[in-house]
Amino acid sequence: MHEAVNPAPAYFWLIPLLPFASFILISFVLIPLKQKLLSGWVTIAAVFGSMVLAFRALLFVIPGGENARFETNIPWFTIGEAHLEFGITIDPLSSVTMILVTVVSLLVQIYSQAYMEDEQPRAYGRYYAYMSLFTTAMLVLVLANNFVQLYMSWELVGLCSYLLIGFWFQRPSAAAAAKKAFVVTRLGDLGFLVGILMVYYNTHSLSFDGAREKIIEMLNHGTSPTIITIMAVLLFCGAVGKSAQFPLHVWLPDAMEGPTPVSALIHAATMVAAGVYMVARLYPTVFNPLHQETTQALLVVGVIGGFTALLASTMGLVAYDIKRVMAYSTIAQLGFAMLGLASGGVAVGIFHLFNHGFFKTLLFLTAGSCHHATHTFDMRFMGGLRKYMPVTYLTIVVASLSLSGIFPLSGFWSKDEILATAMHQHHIIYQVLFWTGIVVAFMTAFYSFRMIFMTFHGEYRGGAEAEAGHTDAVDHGHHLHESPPLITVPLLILMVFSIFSGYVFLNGKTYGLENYMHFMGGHEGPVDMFVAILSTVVALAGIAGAWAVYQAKMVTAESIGRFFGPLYSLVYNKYYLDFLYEKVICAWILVGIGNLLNLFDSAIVDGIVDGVGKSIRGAGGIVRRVETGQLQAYALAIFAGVVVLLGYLALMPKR
Amino acid sequence: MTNDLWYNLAFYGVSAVLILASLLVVVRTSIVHSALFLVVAFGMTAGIFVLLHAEFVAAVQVLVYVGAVAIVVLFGIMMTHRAYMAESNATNQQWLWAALVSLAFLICGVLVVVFTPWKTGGDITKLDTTMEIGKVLFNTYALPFEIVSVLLLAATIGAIVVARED
Amino acid sequence: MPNPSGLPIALEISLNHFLVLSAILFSIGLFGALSKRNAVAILMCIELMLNSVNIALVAFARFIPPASAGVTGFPGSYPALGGQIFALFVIAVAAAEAAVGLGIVLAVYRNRRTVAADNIDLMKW
Repeated sequence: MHEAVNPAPAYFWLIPLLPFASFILISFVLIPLKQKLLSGWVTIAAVFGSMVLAFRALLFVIPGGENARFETNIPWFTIGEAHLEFGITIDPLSSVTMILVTVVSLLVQIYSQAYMEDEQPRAYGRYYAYMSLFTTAMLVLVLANNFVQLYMSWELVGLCSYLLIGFWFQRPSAAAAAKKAFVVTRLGDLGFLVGILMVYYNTHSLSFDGAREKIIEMLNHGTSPTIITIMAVLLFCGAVGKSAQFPLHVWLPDAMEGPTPVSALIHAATMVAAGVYMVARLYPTVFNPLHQETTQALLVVGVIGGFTALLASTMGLVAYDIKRVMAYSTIAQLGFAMLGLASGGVAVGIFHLFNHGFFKTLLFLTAGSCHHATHTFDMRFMGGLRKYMPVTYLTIVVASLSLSGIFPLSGFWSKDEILATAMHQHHIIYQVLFWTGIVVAFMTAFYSFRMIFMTFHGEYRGGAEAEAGHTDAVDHGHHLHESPPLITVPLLILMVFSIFSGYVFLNGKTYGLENYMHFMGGHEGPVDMFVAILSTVVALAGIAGAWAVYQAKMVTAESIGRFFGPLYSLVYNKYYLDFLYEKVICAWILVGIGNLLNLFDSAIVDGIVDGVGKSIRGAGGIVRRVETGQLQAYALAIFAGVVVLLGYLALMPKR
Repeated sequence: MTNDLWYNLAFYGVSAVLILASLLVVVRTSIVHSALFLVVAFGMTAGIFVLLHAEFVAAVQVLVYVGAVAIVVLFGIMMTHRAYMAESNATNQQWLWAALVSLAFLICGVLVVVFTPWKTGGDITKLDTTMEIGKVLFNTYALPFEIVSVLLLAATIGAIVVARED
Repeated sequence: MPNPSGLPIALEISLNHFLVLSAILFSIGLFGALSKRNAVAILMCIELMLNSVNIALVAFARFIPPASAGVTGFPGSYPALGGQIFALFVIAVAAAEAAVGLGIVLAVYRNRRTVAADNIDLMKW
């Protein structure tokens, strides 16, 4: 068993325990007592406490630099030779991610106080209970140091996502979306579980460190790296499901049925980040144990990430629902982060994840702010909100600029690192992925500003009433107003993070990108000017294109759609993937197999069981004919027996 | 073992009639004929008992079997016969199997009897068997005697209960 | 079989003769009990079988001395006539059984209007 390097101080256990206490308190005390606002405040207090401790953890870890590790384990239970432990690990990776989770969670909880204020007390309490449970599970996941704990919190996070997507479960679309999310991620988790079992089978260790040591030993003694690659790819299946990569990306757009803060927290910043986090955590264990430039497993990760980014960006170009656009953007950016993990290692991928968490959450919350004013999410019925909602407008522009990767915002730094490391890889596939990334950058800028121009510029097109069909009541926006402070203040705070999260302010000194990279174990080098200039040019071209089509109306969107013809309808229908999954696989193949198995069950299995009964009845039907009721027949049988006995006695040898 | 000529003659004669009568009981298809031959068989049995120096038993045999059981059987025949008298005692379908089993039984029985080394040697010819029976019946066998009397009581009551009209 | 007196077996009436007679009578009675249709006839054949057993018992009493029966410990002398006593009891029981049996036959006859044993088969499958 691998012993902890340094034990972590016990108060760090409070990081997951505070939100858990909040969950228990809300579920068992506040909801029965019909408290409403108190649930929110309890959750906010708990998450605030966790956030403070997360910052403390970061301070703890900084002196040790790249190799700092603090670990505490408590024995959980033992099965045979496997000793399961429950532990927390404080190291650079987990402390940085914890900061992301707690800060975003805190701001979203504050935002939810205003957004969910129209709910009944019971529903309000339920919302905050689920949010607390989710925060607990996510923090346990980040702090996990063994596979069992990771898998357990993984599933728990998926459960909370299901509960929260289907929060308004009376809506059939919401219930269906929750089910779809859970089932699709479960498919990924199947591969994940097989991967975990395979790791245990080969290394007999359930902790990350133990597995890593064993694997390095195996590779040094000549084991074929193919087994490790297979393990890594299976584990990656879980990330494909959880982080909505191709082909399991179909659940995330539908998950927008949930409340907007849920989409912001879970489906932008934290839960979907769990997949990227898992790859980062297992990077030295299975993905790249020997610290090579790249491995087969990382190639798979990179290709899937890059392809997903391309696919999702194209779908984001044509969506009309503002949250859908952001969902596709999330899928694409997570693919980008996966690509970053593959080409540049843990530091590059997590850096992009960190930045993306802030500006994507901000984008979702601004969409919620728009909904608060116009009561619709459909961009075709919004417009001209710039006049009425200046704060929201400012924040969304900053967030989109960061997403597009404009210097000197945070998004620029992380995107630049990903593209630069991809270009510097020697394998040919990374070159292809590099150019894919350039195209994705163009499309990202394009659809982000398309969103802004359609929503905040031009004339207001009526909002929810127009969407419902009352075209005569095209509201000229007289009643539109900015959202209350509980909504706008978190937006502003997130805006600050979106600008500056490329740097870390500590102790009055400014730690720049170089220190961060060194801290996270990456290699430092000068900024690659070619990549920087190319990516900025491409992003500006995307913004200009969006301005041309949606603002200046030099070319209309419909004419572009007609120009691309069948390609446009292919993209608009999400490449018919949903159709494939639902109509073909589920309706035909699975139902067909189900009918076949049903036939098997009723004919063969029931046949055997019934057959046993029927054959006994049949045998009985034959045997019962012995009972003729004829007295003399019975007597005959008796005396025949007597004769046999007598014959035996007569012939028995005499004593 | 006696070798008295008259004894032998008596034995074989009585046995022959006995066996013949038994056969006729079984073979005759008229129930009344069977009953009458049954009476003959009972009588011959009493004769066998006399040959065995069991006079009291012979007397009881005549009294009870011939005088009571045969009468009861005849009453039964009288009260239950339906068909023509000549067909009232037919044989059923399994007579062949019954004959085989009976034959096998007979063969086994005879073999057992003949091959068993009986330790004979008893001589009760000098006894007054009736007085001896009386002595023993009220001394050693008093309990079975009383029990049999209770049994007869039960049988009486039982027969009445079973057979009465209700 | 030892035959000390030298005469042919047929002329030396011994236990075996009576026992063979008993066996013959028993099998005749058995045949009748198994093959007659009339219930009263079956009862008559059962009486035949009881009869044959009586003959065997009395023959044992005549030929087998009490000492060789192997039973000891009785107060006074062991009765030499156990077989005859047994036969008396058998006769008593046979009479009782005949009475009750015919009572049953009468009851059945009253309900079913038949005494043919193969028509009385309610207990069949």
